[in-house]
This record gives sequence, structure tokens and C-alpha cells, in this order.
Amino acid sequence: MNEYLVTALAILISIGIGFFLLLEFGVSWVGYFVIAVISLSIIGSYFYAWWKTQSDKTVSKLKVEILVKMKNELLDMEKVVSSAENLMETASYKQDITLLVNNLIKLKFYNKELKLSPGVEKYTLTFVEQQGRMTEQKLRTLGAMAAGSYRPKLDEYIDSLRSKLERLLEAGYDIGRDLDSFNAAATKPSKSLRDLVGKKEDLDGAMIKTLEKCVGEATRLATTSKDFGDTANVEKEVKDIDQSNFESTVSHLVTAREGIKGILNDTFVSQHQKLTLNVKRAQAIMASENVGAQKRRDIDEMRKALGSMDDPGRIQELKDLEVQFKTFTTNAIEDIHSKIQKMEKNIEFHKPDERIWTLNAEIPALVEHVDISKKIDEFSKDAINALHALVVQLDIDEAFMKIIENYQKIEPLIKRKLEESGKVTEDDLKVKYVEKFMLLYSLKNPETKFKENKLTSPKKAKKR
Amino acid sequence: MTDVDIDSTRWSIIASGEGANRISFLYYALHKNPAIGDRVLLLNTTTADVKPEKTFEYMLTRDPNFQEVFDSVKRDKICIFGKSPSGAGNNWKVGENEAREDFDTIRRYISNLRLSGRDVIFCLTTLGGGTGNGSLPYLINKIKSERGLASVGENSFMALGIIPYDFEPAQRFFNTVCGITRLLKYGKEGKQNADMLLLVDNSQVEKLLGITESSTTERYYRINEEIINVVDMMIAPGGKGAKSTIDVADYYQLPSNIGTYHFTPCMSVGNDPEIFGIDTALDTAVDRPMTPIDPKTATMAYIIAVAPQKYVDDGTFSQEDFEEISRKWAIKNMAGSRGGILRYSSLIASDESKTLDVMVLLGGFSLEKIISNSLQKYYDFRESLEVRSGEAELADDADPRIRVKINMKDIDTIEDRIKSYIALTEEKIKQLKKKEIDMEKELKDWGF
Repeated sequence: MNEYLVTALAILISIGIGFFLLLEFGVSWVGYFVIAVISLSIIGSYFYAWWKTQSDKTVSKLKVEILVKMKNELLDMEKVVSSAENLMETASYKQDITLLVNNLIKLKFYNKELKLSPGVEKYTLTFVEQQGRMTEQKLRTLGAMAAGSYRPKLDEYIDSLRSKLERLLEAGYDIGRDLDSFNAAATKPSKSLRDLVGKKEDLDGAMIKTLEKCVGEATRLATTSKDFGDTANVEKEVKDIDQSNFESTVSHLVTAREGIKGILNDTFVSQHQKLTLNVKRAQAIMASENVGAQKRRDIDEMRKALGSMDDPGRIQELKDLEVQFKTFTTNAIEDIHSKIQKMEKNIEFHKPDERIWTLNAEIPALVEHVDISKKIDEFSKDAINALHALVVQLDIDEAFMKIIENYQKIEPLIKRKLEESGKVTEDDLKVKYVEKFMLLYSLKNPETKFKENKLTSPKKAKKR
Repeated sequence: MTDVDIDSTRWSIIASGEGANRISFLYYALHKNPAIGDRVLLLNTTTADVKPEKTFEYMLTRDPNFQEVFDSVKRDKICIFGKSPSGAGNNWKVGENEAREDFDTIRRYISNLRLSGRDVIFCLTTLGGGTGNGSLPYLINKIKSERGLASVGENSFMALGIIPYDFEPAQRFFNTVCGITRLLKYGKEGKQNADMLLLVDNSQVEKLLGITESSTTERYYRINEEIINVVDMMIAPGGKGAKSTIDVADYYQLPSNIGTYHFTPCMSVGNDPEIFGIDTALDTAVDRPMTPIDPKTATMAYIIAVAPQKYVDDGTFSQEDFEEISRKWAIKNMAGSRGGILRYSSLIASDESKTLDVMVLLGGFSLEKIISNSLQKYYDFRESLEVRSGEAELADDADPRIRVKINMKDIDTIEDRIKSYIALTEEKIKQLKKKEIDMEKELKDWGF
């Protein structure tokens, strides 16, 4: 409309200017003016036609974009709804989507194959946009309704998967962490139908992975168990597993695990008892402060790990722990032995009397005897013997060093008490290693006597 | 060092004279106790004494970081007072006169300590010299009585006097007797001066520590470290790990009321808590008094033990056991048959300490051993003085410009005062050693 108005205005102005020129300058000027106006009109028309074509192209492009987006949303919703059909009735939602599609075909936005129809050209961009928004709104409502119906079904499904995993865990499969990850994924918030469907797919994936892990564990255990009994039934159970069916896979795995337990139970119990006994002995020996906090922590952890291991299916872990115990004990023996050897050099400098400090001469042989390649029973016997002798010696050495370090402070006390009463007993001196301090004093002061835990001086006691 | 609550009592150190300056500097450089922080003031009469090349040379070469500390101390913690060209010349009267005449200078520095509330001022001096020994008794009396510098009647003044080595000349022991007396009693009326006087004897501490080093500076260093331990241990029962608090007032109120307020620390630090029972550590401490005394004459005791936190937590050491052990120990070892007149015990659990440290502050003991060690030299010096018209002129041989007259009546007054203090001390000991009362008769008198 604007184009016509501008054109009419331009003609009127041109006529007005023509009259003005005719009256003021004569006809020849009007002639030049007419030629100029015609030339400008031709050029102007040409540019206008070019500009108009470009503008129409942009509108068509926008219409196409809206239609493509609409189509994708429709197809996507159809696909998501289809994915949800294994847990809920989806026919009504599919029907609603079909109605929406048919309406758009009827408007000639698309043909029957849902390809863009040339009929859309007759609609203005505004109309197409309106239709796009309406469709989007309807799809959103449809999606929300579908998610509302799907959520309780998915929750039930998740519960059933969880209970399967718990059955496997209870049967002894090492899937504690998998179950934790499953629970974390299951509680992740999901709003849309797409999120819910995505969550189900993820959990199915996790379930499949866990089942594969359990199948691997069952196969490995079946192989390990061959040395301890007939594993034919177990192997059959593992062979019959069809991983596409979670329920039956779990049942087969549980049965297989029970079978393995039956085969390994006696061996596991016996080995567990033996290792527990040896770890307990080592732990008791290493309770001495002088052994060091780290070693005590290590053996405590080993005992704890052993305590929580009650499933015969974990026989391999038990074997690993046995190796760990052997390595730890061997290292501890080497460490303590080397510490003792270093201390002895220092102790020898003081030339101690054998009543204050003694050296167990059997230690080198006992240490030499410990061989990590020996079987656990034999190894433990040697290692515990060596460890015991070493820790006793370590305590003796540490005590001696403490006595030497503190004697200078204790000596005047003993001297004073002897001067006061002519005797010193354990009750007179509240120090650790009191007998050794008194003995050392008597050795350094030959005029005194140390007998039956009593230090006496022949000199008459002074009155203070 | 033990943790101290923000709200606990604040302590300041005022150290006068070369020897005391060394102790304070060492404290400031190494041992900062949160209760003291940087409230330290070093006083001297001559810049020569506080020049690093002289007084602190050994410390500065021992640890290069000390130079930086010294620079910061020099800026606002060293006060040079008086007009004497080369110090007090080991003459206490000069030290006292210089402090009196130039008190305005000292006042400015004391103001920087911002004394307030119930702050404790720990005053340090050696007793053989002139500057500290002369100025500190005057300053304690002056600060106590002057409004504006301290909270009159609320601040407490603890003095620590260091007795010279046995081998030092007679003049040092003349100074010592005068110094002890003036720290105990001062002014025209001879009223109590310091609220508590701690005595430490150089020769005794050196013997206890088994110091064999020939270098004087190294020997001083070791003794000074031990004195700093005393200060830390005294502060500890007011800190947060204390299982039973000893307030500052507990330290001085009752002794002041009794009239005998001299103490000596007995230290046993660095004990292995695995080896030592607290009773043995206590015995060891009392075997190591920092002045020569007979513990059996002590009438008062503050028994402080700092133990590693874990041994307190696991029950190896507890306040209840400590109290009982202290009680038994006091009955057996202190004056009288009931364990003296006054006894406090405080166990402090410390995260930082790895050893069991025990300090017993024995007080009210007989001063006989201390005085007898000084008396001969005191008289040797006194009798050597040339008295004219009741006055003796004291001059410094090294610097004849330093000379001062002492009125012999003042010396007589000092003698009278120490004698009366000794008499009171002996009387208290004697009272405790008296036979027990006739309970049946006394109860009857009381109406039972």
C-alpha cells in the first residue's frame, strides 16, 4: 500500500514542478524535466523490483525454518513416547501426536510424507509462526502428561533393578561400589519425559555392566574352585546365563555363587582361621610402643580386613591378604633387626652389665630362617618366632637407652635417699625400670649392695 | 611455652642493668611467651652496655637472626637513663641516683608498656652490679606509688635478683646484701617493696646445670635460659591448659600478709614422661634449688608441673594425683610436720611440651645459707670504706669520674631491715617446727 502512495505523491510533485517550470522557464525546460523524470522512474523501478525479491526470499526462509523445527519436535516427541512404551501405555499420546501432524498436513504445511509443501507460500509468516507456537505448546503439555504417567512406573522399575543388585551383593558378589553408583544415578533429579527415559537407559546400561562383572566373577570363581570340588553345576549355571533377561541372569548368578560357596567353604574357613591366628599373634607382639605407630596401624588394618572377610567366594582376596601378611612381616623383621643392630653399636659403647642389658644371641639365626617363599604355616611359625625375639630385644634396648639417658637425673635422688635412710626400695623411687636404676647405681658405687630389689649402703644414714 | 588465654593476666618485663638486659633480650629473641608478647623494657645507664658488640655480641654471633631482633629491640625497647659517662661503675647508689634524677626519661619508656588493670611487672636485675641493683628497687617503689604509670595498688611487681658468683669480689656482695634488702623493703618507712622476690644464684645454677664451658658468655647463656624457663613456668598456671589455676594474686598475697615473700625456683625440666613419675620429678626439682637453701626450712611452695597433653589425657598425670603427691611431699620435706603454711599445686597439660617439667617455688625459707655466703665479703667491703662525717665516698677505679657518697646511716638502716626480715622469717619457721597443739585442751577451750 505504501508503494502506491509514494508513487502517487511522486507523480503529483512531478506535475507540480512541470507546471512551475512551464510558467517560469518555458516549454523547453519542461521537456528536459520530463526526460529526467522518466529516466529516474525507470532506474527506481528496477531497484525496487530487486529489493522486493530479496525481502520475499527472507520471509520464505523463515517459514521453512519454523516448519523444519516443528517437524523435528513432532518426530522427537514421537520417538521419546515410543521409547517409553516398555513401561507404560503410550497409544493415547501417539494418537495426539498423529492428530497434530494431520492438522498441519491439512493446512498444507507438509505433504503426507511430512515433507514441506509448496502450499505454505500462501500463508503469511505471522500465521506460520502462530501455528508453530501452538504446536510447541501442545507438545509440551503432552510431554508433561506422559512424564507424569511414566515416573511411578520408572520408580517401580528402579526398585526392581535395585533389589536384583542387592540379591547379587548378598550372594557375595563384589558389587558394593556398583550398587552405590546405581543408587546415586537413580536419585538424580529428572523432570522431562526425555530425562526419565534417559535415566532408564543409563540404569539399564549400569545393570548390564554389573551383570557382566558378576558373570566374570562367577566364571573366575568356578575356575578357581575346580581344585576344591566338582564345579560342573556351577559352570552350567554360568553357561545358561542370558544377559538380555535381568531376572533370569540374576537367578543363575545367585545359584552359581551358592554352588561356589558350597565347594570353597571348608577350604576358606580353614585358611581364614589360620591367617587370622597368625595376624593376631603378630599384632599382639607388635603392640609394643617401640615398634612404631605405622607398623601397628598396618597390622591393625590387616586384622580388620580379615575380620570383614566372611564369604568363601572371596578366597582369592584371602590369598592376596596372605601374601600381604608375609611381605609386611618380612619387612617389619628387617626394619626392627636393622634398628636393633644400629642401637647395639651405641649400647656396646656403655659396656653394660648383663644384669642390666642382655642380647639374645639367637636373633640372627631366627631372622635368617624367615623365608617368604615358604608356605604360610611354616613361614608364620618362623616369622612369629623372629618377630617376638626382635621386639623383646628392641624393648630391652630402648629401656637400656632410657636408663642411660636418665641416670644422671636419678643418681642424685638415689644418693640422697641412701644418705637419708641407708636403703632405697622400689617404693622410694617412682620411676620406670626402678630396679635397673638401682642396680646400675650399685654397679657404679661398689660400696652399696643391690639385693632382692633393695639397694643398701653400709654407711650410716645422715640426718637431714 | 604454654598457651595463654587472651583474657589471662598480662605480664611485662623490666630488666635493668647489663646482665638482666641479656636475659630479656634472649627471651625476646627466642622464647616469646604470649602472656608477655613484646612488653619488654631494657634499662641501662650507658649505651656501651647495650651496644651489640659488647653485651649481646655472643648472642648475635651465635644466631644471625638475632641481629634483626636486636635492631627492633634497639628502636623502642632500650632506655638509656642518667648522665653518667660510663654507667654506674658497679655502685648501686649511682644506679639509684641516676634513675631518680632521670626518671622522666624512664617514665616515657614505661608508658610504652601500657600497663593496665592487674598486669604483672616482672623486674629483673643482677644483684652484684650498680645499674640494675641500684635503680630497680627505686623504680618498683616509684611506679607502685605514682599515679598514671600503673594501676596503683593493682599491679603486682615480681622481682628476680641474681646473686653473683662465689668468686666475685667483696663489693659485689656488699651490693647483693643491699640489693636484696632494698627489693624487700624500701623507702623511709621500710615498707614492702616487690610483692615477691625470687632469688637465683649464679654459682648454684651453674653447678646444677653441670656447666663446664670455659667461655663466660656461654655460661651466662645457659643460666639465662634456665631463668627464662622460670618465667615461663610461673606464667603457665594462668594459661588455658592449667588443670588448677594459680592466679597472680595467689603468688604474692598470702606471703605478703605473712611478711616473708622471698622465693627460689627449683627446676627439673626435660624429664622423660615415660620414665619419671611426678613424685620423682618433684624430688629431682627440690634437689635443684637455684639458690643454696635448706628446703626443710621452706614454709611456702608453689608446685607447677607441665606435662605433655597425651599423658594428661590418658591419665598418667592428673591434678588429683598431683595434689596428693604434693601434699605428701610437703609433709615430708617442708618446714614443720604439716607441710608448711601455704601450698599450691597446678598441673598444666601442654600440646607443645614433650617432656615433664616441674618447678617448685619454695618460699619463706631460712636465708642463712645465702647471707652466710655473702656476709664475710659484705663486711670486708663495709670495713674498707673510709668514713668521714658519717659518709663514705665510693668511686669507680676504672672511671674516677664516677663517685658518690653514701650516708653510713643508710647502710645501718639497710642492715636493720634485713635483720628484722630474717628474724621474722626464722620466727615463722620456728613456729611451724613447734610441737603440735594439745588438741584435747584446745577443743576444751573452744567449748567442746
